[in-house]
Amino acid sequence: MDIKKISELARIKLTKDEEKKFEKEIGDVLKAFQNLNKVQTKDVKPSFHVIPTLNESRADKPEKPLTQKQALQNSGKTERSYIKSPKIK
Amino acid sequence: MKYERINEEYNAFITLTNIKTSNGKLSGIDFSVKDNICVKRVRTTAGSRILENYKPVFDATIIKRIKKEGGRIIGKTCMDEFGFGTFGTNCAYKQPKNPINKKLVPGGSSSGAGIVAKLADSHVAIAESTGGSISCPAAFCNVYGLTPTYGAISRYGLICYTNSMDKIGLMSKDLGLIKKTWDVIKGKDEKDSTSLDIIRTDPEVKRIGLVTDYFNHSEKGISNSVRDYANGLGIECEPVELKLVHEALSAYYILALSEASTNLAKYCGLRYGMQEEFDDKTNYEDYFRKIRSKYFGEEAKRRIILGTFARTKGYRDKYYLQAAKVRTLVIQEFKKKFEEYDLLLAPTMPCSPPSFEKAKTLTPSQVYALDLLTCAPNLCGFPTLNIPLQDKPVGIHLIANHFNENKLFEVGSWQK
Repeated sequence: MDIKKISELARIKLTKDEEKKFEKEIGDVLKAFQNLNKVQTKDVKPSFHVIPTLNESRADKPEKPLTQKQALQNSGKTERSYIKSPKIK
Repeated sequence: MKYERINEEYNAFITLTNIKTSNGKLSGIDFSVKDNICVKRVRTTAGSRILENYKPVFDATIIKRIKKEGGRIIGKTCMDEFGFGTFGTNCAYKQPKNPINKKLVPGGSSSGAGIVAKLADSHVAIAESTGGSISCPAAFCNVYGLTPTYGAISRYGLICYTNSMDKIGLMSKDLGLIKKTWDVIKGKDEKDSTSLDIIRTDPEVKRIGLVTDYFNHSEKGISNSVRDYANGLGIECEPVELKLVHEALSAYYILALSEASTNLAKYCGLRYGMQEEFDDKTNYEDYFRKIRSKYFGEEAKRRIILGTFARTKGYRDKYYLQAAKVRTLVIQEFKKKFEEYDLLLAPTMPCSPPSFEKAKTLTPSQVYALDLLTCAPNLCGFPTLNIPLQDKPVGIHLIANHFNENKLFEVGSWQK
């Protein structure tokens, strides 16, 4: 596994020591999980949900939503009614 | 024991509170809430520094239902960060201690729930399990722990680890209080499309299967004690072979971490949680990276990276899709056994709780392997009940078919 590439994808910056440690530990874990690929799964459907359910939707009735103040109150950086972020370059 | 004292001695809480409500079916019962379940205006950290300052603006459905029926909410219990842990040693705040022996780990990830459930009277701890996070601390802290059928309790307001496996459940030293609370909180919630009404099934238990592999992978003393318990039930108990238990462990971790890595992508220092100063020169992605690298703990980073890897091009089919197919086979294997047996029974954990010193020496791979006995039912959404064994930090694990919680309550009440 290319630990640099994967941590980059995950938006996590690792130190050199962390890279070395994680590469070994994750390598060991993946090795232990190789038994998965010995299971014959031809024609087996994947289970993304454990209990069969049909698509569910709730009744189309208006409810009282959060106020704008409530919706923004956990963000420390707001300007007017927006959440402020660094520039996308 | 008073909650302040439980906290001083055992570090069971991240936040103490006292929300009194009106009278109802749950009046007289105190509730603690695992810190990944939202309580309006009460700090909710999920055991992580990245949510150190987060105060939800709404109640989780389960909290609404408890408040409506008069339950008193007394605090938010400590947990492994986002539920990532078997021992309770991955909390970003104070280190929780085992209520039976402070030198031992309390079990995770619902560590504080297990501690308070053991030490407080007239108390139900609201906990949550993805791969064994109720059963493990229930066994190590010597209390009852109900992990219900997936979907039986609404997940609305739960901070997600793995959407397809997360289940809110209950812990207490009084099984009667768990049953009483269960009757109030279960059932369909229109805010959670995966929630379900429990179908009532026959509570009679005539035959129990003892899962051979789970007994064989447990310490001898634990296996013997649990076997003695089963023999004392006075009903037919016989050995049962399950072929895919080891593969279920691998499938569990691949699916759980894949989903976790996507769920935790939202923590980037903007909408909620920890934030830092930035200016016009700050790069958008560098800012995300800085926040995530600084405020996620080591186990969270490890699991996010592993989960990200399992979803990358070229590995998705080999790991993620294969794990989802293996889950289908594990469900089928258990369902077949439930045609013959009312319940399956095994030790809850393969070992007694280790000391903090011993726990530090184990590699992630060795720690993950300790979830062998709890992860298959969690992977498949089957309900389980941990029954505490006398005053030992050892549990008996009952596993039932979907919607058969009443069989768990039935056998759980026999011991009493």
